[in-house]
Amino acid sequence: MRALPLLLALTAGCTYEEGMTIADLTGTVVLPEEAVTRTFQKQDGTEETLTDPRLIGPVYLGLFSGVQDGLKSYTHPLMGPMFQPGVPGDTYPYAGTTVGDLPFPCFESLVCKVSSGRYTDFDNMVDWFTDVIETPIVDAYGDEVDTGDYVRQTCYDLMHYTTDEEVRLTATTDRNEDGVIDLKDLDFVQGNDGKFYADFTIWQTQYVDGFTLWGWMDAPSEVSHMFSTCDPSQGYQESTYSSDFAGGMQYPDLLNSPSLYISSGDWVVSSGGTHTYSSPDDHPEIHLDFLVTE
Amino acid sequence: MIRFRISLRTLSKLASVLAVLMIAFPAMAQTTGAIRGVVTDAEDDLPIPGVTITLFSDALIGGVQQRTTDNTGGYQFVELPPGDYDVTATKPGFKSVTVAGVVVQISRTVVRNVQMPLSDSTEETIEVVATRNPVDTEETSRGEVLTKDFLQKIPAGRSYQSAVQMAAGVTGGSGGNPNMGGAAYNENTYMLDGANITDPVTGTFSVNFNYDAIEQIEVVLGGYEPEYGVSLGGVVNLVTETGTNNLEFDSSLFYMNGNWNPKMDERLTADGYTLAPTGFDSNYQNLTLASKISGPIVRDKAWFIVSYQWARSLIANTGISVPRDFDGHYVLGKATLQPTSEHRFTTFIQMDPSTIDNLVQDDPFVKPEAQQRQTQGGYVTQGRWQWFLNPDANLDTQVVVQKSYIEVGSVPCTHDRTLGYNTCKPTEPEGFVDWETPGRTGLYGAYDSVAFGYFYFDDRYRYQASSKLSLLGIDDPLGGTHDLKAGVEAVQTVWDQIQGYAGNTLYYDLNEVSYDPSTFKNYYWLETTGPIKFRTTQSQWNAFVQDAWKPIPDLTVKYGTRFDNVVSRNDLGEPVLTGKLWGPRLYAAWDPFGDQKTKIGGGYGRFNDTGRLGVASFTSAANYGSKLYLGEYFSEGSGDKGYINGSGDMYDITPRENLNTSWDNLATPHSDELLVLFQRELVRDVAFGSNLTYKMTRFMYEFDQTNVVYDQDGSGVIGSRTGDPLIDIYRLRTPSLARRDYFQGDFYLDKVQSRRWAGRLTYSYTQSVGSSTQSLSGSFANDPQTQYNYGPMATDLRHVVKGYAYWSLPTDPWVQTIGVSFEYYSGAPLERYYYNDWSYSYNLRIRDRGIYHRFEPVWVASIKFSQDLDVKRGKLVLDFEVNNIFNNQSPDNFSSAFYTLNRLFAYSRQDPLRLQLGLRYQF
Repeated sequence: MRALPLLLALTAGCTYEEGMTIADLTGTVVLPEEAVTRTFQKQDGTEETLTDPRLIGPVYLGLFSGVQDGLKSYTHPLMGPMFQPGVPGDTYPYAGTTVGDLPFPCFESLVCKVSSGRYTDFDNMVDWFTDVIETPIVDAYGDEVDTGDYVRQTCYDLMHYTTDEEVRLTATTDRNEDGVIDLKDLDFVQGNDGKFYADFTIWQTQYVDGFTLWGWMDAPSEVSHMFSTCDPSQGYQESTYSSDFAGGMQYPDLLNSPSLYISSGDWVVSSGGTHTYSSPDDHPEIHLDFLVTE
Repeated sequence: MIRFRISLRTLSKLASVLAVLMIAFPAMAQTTGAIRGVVTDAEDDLPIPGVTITLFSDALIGGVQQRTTDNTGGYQFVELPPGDYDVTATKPGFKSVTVAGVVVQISRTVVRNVQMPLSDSTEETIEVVATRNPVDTEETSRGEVLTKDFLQKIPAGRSYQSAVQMAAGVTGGSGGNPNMGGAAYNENTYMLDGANITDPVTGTFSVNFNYDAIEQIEVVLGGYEPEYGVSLGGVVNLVTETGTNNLEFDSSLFYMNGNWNPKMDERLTADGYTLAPTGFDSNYQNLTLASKISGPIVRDKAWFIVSYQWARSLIANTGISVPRDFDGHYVLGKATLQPTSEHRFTTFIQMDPSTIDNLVQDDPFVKPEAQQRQTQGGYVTQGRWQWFLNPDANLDTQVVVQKSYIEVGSVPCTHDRTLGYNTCKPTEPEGFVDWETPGRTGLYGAYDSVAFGYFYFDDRYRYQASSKLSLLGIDDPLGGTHDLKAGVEAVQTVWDQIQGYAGNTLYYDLNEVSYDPSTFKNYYWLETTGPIKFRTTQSQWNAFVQDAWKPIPDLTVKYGTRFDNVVSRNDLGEPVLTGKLWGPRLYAAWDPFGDQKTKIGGGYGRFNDTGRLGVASFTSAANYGSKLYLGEYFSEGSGDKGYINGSGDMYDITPRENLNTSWDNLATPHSDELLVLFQRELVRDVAFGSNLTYKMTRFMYEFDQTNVVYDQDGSGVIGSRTGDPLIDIYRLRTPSLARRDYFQGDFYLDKVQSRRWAGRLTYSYTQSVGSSTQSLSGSFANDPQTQYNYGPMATDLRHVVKGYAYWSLPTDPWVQTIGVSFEYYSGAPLERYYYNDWSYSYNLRIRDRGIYHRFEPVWVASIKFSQDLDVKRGKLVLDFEVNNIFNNQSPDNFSSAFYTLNRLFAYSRQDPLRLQLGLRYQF
């Protein structure tokens, strides 16, 4: 037992500090009520203005060395040198994340049109495309898909999934624990002030003091209803029977060259709405309150 | 107890010892055992001093040993090679007493008390057969010693790698490397006759030798003393035979066949897996021919043993038209010289050159001519000097040199068409390998492929020198005795690699119709900058000091620490891993009733991972420089040159440098272990025991991706720090999140050898959760997936039952032995991965690790029957063994990520029923 003090001494001081601050950075994204209103061009040439939270597209958040006004019509991250005329310089993001992403949508007609976290269930998704924007989902045989069960079953068949959680197209978690999965369980939930709020986490980020949070929301095309941040030729390659298509995925340089993808109707953080970090414990509220109109 | 007095003469010897310690170097794991006890008067139970204790054994070189009991009646023999011993006590006025058949095991101390009846004549003798005490009241480690009896009579697979699985707490693993104590398969230490034979690169076993040459295997899972070195997992301590004064010969032939089982392709098809249309039959055949001869060079002074094993196996189990053809030759030669009672010299050399043809067994589209050959092997040689300064003090010094190699290239051609192997062209000589013509391959699973021109030459070296000083039975002025050991060791390991492609070019072909080289279209091809050659090194020295203190006769306290100083360098000579590591340990064992029938023990230990060359090489700079050309496939209808005319006909250039980095401030992975031990003899020869282990492993080696930025669930990339997401930049780290937490409770019944049978039945309950199943993993490469990393791991086998027994039938003189084994493993957690758009693979989790599902339980029962027949000048042994007698084929591994199917199917099932026939001749 006389050895115990020696052993304790030897074990003391064995704690380890990696010397690198890695943190899950959390915060809230806020969209104005107007972000869920958009005017679409219908196939017959007429226009229709819709207001629906399902219009909220994927939100892209990045951490940059800073932002600058004047580069574009909207606040833009600091940009590196331009090596080729017309090609924006790189913004070299430190880190980033999304609120809603673009999972495999199971039908070719849905490629690049579906963001995760926007639909309460598959029927809600069918309703959006069939009844609201009137571009029905079409299956591999050209037939209209009119039930959520058909969507679910197709996803299960193609990907060999067994739960909606694996499909990742609809809400599957009762976030507010009220016993039902509804609008209040989507990524964005409308507050009493009419704005839409979503929590975000930028996972396992190496913290750099003073980096700035910037982001934007990609609104669906007024004509095709596709998201401009999505590359329809990439993603999961489905090749079964008469189905032969790519599922689409995000472009890999959305944060490096955001101006290539930001288009009219998108919502970008204004210069006053960004957040410059002073601590990894910051919990910023970032407002995507600038509507891009050009 | 022995009273150890330091005389001037001893001091002078110690001075020279210290000098040796300073210029030579030290080390490690025990290869011997000890016998001690107290001699008492049978009438009044009082200790008898001055009794002459004589020790005899066939295993004991140097002839008989003698001690005289001290004032307490105590005696002790140390540094005894494992084996059976006879202990004889004689003193005038008492009857001589001989205790026969005392079994000495590695690192164990046998307590053999002797009672001597009064007598007028020492001519009167009493001979008793030793019983083995099932309770070891002094041992503080968690582990088992597998004796030769056990290894030969239990259906254990005839390899030390499979025999190790018999120990509680050992499960699964990879490629013959088990998971021990919840650790990864590459976190164990392997010792052969005191020499570390752990592969310095991979952390796995690195040598093979004749199974019949094994004397004992000590499997240690925790609680081991500092001399055993560093390991986050367990220690496999192999001790081979030494020889005897008798010339002995043993030759055996074993053949195993599993071909009559359901064809693997049928089984996989039943699981929903479509195989390529080949004429494949599953194949499992295993042949071993083994011989050993041992005996005296000079009686009592010098012994030798030479063993050889030829191992040949043909195994095809995934739809490949040619089997994996293994052909190995294992040689082990050992000589032991004890010219005087003070000095023992041992040297051994082990070699195991082997070839594996048709290495690719996971792609049914690979053609025989595209197959690969791996040659492997190497040697280990040891020189060892044990200097017995006096009966209770010795210096053990050894030097070890090891080289192992792996060479991978195209399988040589043959003109023998019956094999179906790579057939030579008429102009090519037998065994021809074309190192010049660029290789061709096909996209995974898409079509046929032809000669694959990749080659890889790998040499690994270990230079080790160590020395250990043992001072045993030292009186403590405050009471009790000490067994003190101290040692130092220096190790240098080197890893040389050469990699390249024949002709420095590799064609990726596309031929979706049928196998026809003339119709190939070059999908794309790579021109590389030529073979690369680089070296990774590790320098290490360490020292340890430990003590086994017995303050009172029934209490043993073992404490000590070791210090490891290690520097691992990448190919630029940069120190990647450095450490100055302390590994303190404190354990105790108490016999509360002092009757050798109960033990309560436990303690704490820290175990460090000093890293291996595979980790250091992660940041080596050497890499291929390559140009990627797009082929005809991409130019159809648009060009006439057969490729897209990008820049100088090049489409893309891969830089030569490996871009991986290392975080400056790396920790050293380590485990902190708490252990509780209990043993109690229930009835004679049968003990119940329980081991409770809690082990925390922290700061494991990880690499993360520093370049790309993922979306919220890690399924897609939305940016990159360098502007080019195609460039992978990984960073070596030891994050605090990389951890494991392991609890295991073993409950066992142990029946020691008596009345012709022995057995052991163990139940283990395990919880093994963590973030990483390997000592270098990329669990944290995809940032958003970090949230799912921690959970039950593959080693989280909640309920495991292992039972082994053998029984020698009372049919003397023709001995018949039946050995049985039974193992039950409840299902391991099943990993399920989901499609990841970015990496085009299935490495996306949507739930915490290990909670998706569990495998079905797996159980297996085997039986072995041996019949001894006396023949002229020797003995013939017939062996018949049935593995998995109920032919269970439960899945033991699933995949959710195979080709384009995102569904579960079993790609591995437990080994089917196999029969083994053996014939052995011994004299």
